[in-house]
Amino acid sequence: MKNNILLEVVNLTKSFQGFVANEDLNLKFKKNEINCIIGPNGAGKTTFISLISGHLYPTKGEIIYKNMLINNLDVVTRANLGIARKFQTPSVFSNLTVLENLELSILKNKNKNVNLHDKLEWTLDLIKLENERNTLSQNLSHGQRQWLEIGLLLGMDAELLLIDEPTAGMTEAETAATANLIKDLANNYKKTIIIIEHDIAFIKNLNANIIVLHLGKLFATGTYDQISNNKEVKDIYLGNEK
Amino acid sequence: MFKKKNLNIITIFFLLSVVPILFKGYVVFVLPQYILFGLLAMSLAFIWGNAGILSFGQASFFAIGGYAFGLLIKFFPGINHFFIGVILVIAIGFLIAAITGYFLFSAGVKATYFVLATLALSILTEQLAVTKSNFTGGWNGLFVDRINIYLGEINLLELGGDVKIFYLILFISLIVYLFLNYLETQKIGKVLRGIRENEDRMLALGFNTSFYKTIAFGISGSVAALAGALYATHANFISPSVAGVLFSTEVVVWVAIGGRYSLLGAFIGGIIVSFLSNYLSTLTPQYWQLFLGIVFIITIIFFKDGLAGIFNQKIKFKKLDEK
Repeated sequence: MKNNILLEVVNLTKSFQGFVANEDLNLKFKKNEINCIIGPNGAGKTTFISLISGHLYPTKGEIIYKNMLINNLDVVTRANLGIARKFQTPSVFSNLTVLENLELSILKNKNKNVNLHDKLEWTLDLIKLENERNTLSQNLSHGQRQWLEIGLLLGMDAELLLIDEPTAGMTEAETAATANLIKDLANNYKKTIIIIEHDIAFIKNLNANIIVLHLGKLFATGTYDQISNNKEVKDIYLGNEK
Repeated sequence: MFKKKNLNIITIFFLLSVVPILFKGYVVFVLPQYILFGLLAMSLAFIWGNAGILSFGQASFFAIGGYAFGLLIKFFPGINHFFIGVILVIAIGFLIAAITGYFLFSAGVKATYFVLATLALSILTEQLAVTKSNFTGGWNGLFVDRINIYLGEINLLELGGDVKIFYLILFISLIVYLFLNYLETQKIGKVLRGIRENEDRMLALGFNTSFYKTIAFGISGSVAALAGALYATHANFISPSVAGVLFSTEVVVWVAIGGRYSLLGAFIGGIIVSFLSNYLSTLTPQYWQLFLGIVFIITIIFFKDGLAGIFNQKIKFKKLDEK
């Protein structure tokens, strides 16, 4: 396998008692690239993320991460291999402050050369919560909680970030800031990112590889321009299928 | 904040330590038992407050500690009771709790189901204590000698010295408090609080949460067993009644009233509520449990953080006024 591939799935299939949520997906994810998964409701986007994060196990197929078959590894093991997930509904520690939240994520950091204090400040700066460090995370806005959760993924030094709907509940300005943050992470901090998103302006801004899923199957892949000019993709969103 | 906490500890342990100077007789004899109930309450607050794990099995570990210590002294009278006995009891308490915890936590048993499983453990311990009567004395209980502490040839603690054993128990309680308090500030304490707040997030961050919960439950079990051993040797006696469902429930009530987020609150809650229960039970044998029940319900509804919570709130308001 080529060295610049971080994650590959081969014939990845997940069925729930006969209902096939992901069917024979074959995809490769290059290092330091942003990938966007789109598709109408029920396309199997979150199922795909869960298969990669270990919250679900595949019925069939292979998940290869860093040339290693990880099909049977659990969430904890995968997290320690550098696979981190931001959930659809922000999953942070509500009764702890922003700083305490980040401290917990950094506790797992195995890199002994990292100065924890610097790492905290660096993360706070990136996720724009320097002024909220002592705020209980339950008192943050929805958008800020999304950032905080991304901050947790950074604290654990993950390489592969699985980000499920990061801009839900965000203002336009916050959405733009999130796009910049994600681009920054891929370009300057060597993160490989897989995002599920619905916001088309956000996706355009990211300039990412787009993967279209439909009814559990791979429907199309390409750049923003290719996908936005693809008539069939438009049809599945509008329900014009024949 | 940190200083205020230190002041509370010093005040409480100072007040307890002057009791044998000011009073004589029964108070000095009986207070250590309440202090040990306080220690038992602390063992529950450590896991309930920090990790959100509610256990109805603390009485079980308390009884196991008491019986283990009693049987060790009975069958190996030659050993240096205190040092070896205490270390063994701590190890036994840790092992039994950790093994129980390991199976329950790694199987994903949580919340109400965990409560039920630990409740069953208390019943099991009580039944064992009753039925294995050739070892335990059944309902009649087991007589346990007072400990001797030897340092070389010198006997530091003679049999039956009420004042000496009072200070020994108070000293051990302080050491245990400082130890648990230290753990709360360390990595394990932070991880446990993370588990309490959001276990799924902790898993996704890569923490093996059942490992941390198992260790915490083991530590809690060892503290409860230590309290039980000291209780048995202090009272010269241990019986199945300290293992049962009733006693287990009482421990939960003490901690809920004292404040589960505060080791010190739970400690005080254990001492005061167990003392009041005893006092009320002589005053009004019919109604004291009703009274305790009402206090418990009021606490649960209005003061979720117990006495310690009320105390902290008051200080917060004072600070606001000063501003």
